[in-house]
Amino acid sequence: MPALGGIEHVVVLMLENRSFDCMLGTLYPPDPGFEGLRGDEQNLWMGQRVKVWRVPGDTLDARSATIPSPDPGELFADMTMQIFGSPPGPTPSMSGFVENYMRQQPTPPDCRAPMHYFTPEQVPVLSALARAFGVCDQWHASAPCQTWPNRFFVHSGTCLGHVDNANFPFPYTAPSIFRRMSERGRSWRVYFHDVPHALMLADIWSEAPLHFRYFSAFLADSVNGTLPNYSFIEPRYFTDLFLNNIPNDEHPPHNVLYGEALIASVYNAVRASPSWKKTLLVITCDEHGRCFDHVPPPAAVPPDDRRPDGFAFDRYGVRVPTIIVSPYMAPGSRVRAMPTGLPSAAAPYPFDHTSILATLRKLFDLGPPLTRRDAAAPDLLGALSLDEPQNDGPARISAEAARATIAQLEARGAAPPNHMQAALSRMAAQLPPRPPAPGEAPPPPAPLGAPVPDTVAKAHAASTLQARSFLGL
Amino acid sequence: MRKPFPFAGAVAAMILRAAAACAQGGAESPPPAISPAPLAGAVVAVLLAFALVWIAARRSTLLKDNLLPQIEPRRQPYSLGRWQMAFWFTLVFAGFVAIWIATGQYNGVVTSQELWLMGISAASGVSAIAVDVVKDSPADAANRGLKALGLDTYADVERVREEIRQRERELAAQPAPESAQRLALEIRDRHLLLAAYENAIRPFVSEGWLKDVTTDLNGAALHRVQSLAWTLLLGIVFVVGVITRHAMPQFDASLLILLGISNAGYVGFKYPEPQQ
Repeated sequence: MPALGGIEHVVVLMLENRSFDCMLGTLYPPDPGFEGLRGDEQNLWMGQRVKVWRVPGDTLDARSATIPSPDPGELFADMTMQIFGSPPGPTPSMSGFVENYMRQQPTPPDCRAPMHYFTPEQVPVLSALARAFGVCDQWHASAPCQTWPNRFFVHSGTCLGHVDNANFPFPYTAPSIFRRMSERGRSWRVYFHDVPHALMLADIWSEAPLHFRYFSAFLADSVNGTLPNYSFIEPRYFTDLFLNNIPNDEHPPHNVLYGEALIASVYNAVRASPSWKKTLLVITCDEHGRCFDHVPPPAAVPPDDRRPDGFAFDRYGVRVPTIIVSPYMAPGSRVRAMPTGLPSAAAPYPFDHTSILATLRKLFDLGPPLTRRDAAAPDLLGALSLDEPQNDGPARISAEAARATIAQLEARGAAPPNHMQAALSRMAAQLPPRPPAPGEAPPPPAPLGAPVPDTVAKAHAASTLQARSFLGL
Repeated sequence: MRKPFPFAGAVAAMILRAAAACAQGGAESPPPAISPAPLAGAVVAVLLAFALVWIAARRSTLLKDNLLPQIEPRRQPYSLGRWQMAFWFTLVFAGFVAIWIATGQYNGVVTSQELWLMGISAASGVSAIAVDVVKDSPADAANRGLKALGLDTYADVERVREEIRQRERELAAQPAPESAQRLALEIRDRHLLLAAYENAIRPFVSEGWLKDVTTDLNGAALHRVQSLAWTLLLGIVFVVGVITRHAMPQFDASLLILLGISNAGYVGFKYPEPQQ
């Protein structure tokens, strides 16, 4: 495992809500070494077959890049229907995506929306990196749940048993990998655009002002060779009318071209860094966003015994697109935990977000696992197969310049907040005015009950101010 | 405190001597002496003209950019283009009145050069306004952002402040706990709104006349400094000419073209500049 001593920096960019099939399902033709789309996958709805379909056009435009619009159902109950069908079968069949989508209110206009997929040419940045380095077709979301549970898995190896964003008490108290990094003298930073979800983690509040930085600092740290051991990047979740910024998180119906641009800027910064040869970059999505994927999620190891919402977290979520970038990665790699396919209910388990924790623990000697889940997770170091860091990949990647019109900005700003934005807004409203002193206990967990502003613009204005004030930025 | 430029006095004297020579425009007989009463009247008229423009500039958006209607008038930044228009209007108007009162002459006082001066400054002012209207500047984005927060004009800001005061009065009356909690939340939300408002307008609020007219969002802007410097220098020449010759000075075509070029540079560079 040559990379074990060679990797000193891990960078994780976690985007939002896209499935593997949606983004990378046709990266390579389907074969035993790549679990891609055949093109005949389908869901039944009202007696008609709704097949997967290719988004038309050689490239994406302002409309096609926002499919599916409106945003499909996000809750645990929605995902259960998507995975097990309706009525639910005994095993995951991936047959309920269309049914669940058409049950949303108001009824969406196009039942085919969740069955779309983009071609590699339509998402050229992600595809180019996947081909130049490695794509992982066995990476599942940690839980068949919304954003927050999955983001807590990447930070703490659990989500304390809560299945939906709105169910989480504030603050979140499970020990995080960041705390472990600090305790072991390892450096880390959370780079964010507007409101970092990682502010939910109470165990790092007292040191948060030292570690949370705007994304522009990531670009500078990369180029200056001052990246910490672990960088976690959060995309822009809100429309910012003051700076003409559209979200780049890829959360439907946000335009994926902005996410492409973010991926390109992260890669270009890492690639231009003096630390490039010692860096591992992981690009992934937190969950599938109700976009269709044809691979049933296998059974998973429950992270702990907490079940406040009745779910044991004994099943992974839907596959998400994940790219592994490193000079130790051979071009065109297909990163798998098990080359010939996975059993559905036993080890070896697929990659999930806790594979990042397993990798960090191994790389930086961070001690025992945080939970039973990350104890079982395969790490990424085995995929870094080159003896020397010799795959430099493209020197630079260009993203198609996406530019929002004023009408698009105003429409996004006037829209009601989505689930993620609403939850972030509640979180920011309940942040204390300043972080507790080291050793001072955070407030006891309480329901996330603050009212949410009625528009994205108002939620953005309030929550960015509150987050900034808390961080002293 | 900033250290004064050590040669300021000598430079000023040199400029005035040069201005006087320029304004005389050649060897002419000295102007006749003016009796004290008309001289006093002329001085009062000139001071009055300057005072009126100054007061209007301070109290209204007459000389201000007015890029964000959410900013109260006294905090709007000064506009270089508008200021130049007012500058030449005031000088020519005050010079005319002073010459008229002091000498009794009013025909032939305003020359074609003065008309050119006012024309150049008016064209600059109008062009600057047109550029502001046409381009999508950071001020436009701030305007859109504030409108999305329900703040269309400064009156809306005042309304939010009044809503806070009203709720604070209700809170002071010790209402039921649920009402108190609701009021506290509403007050907090409105304070957040005002904080977002202050953040958004900060780059567009006046930082004083000199800084406003010589800087944009990136800091000092050479094209602005150049335009201001030539305007002030020709203004000094104008004033010295009126005082020493009791007539408006004859600027030759080169000087007028120079002013025109510097103002055209200002307008041209204004299009891509981030706006203050």
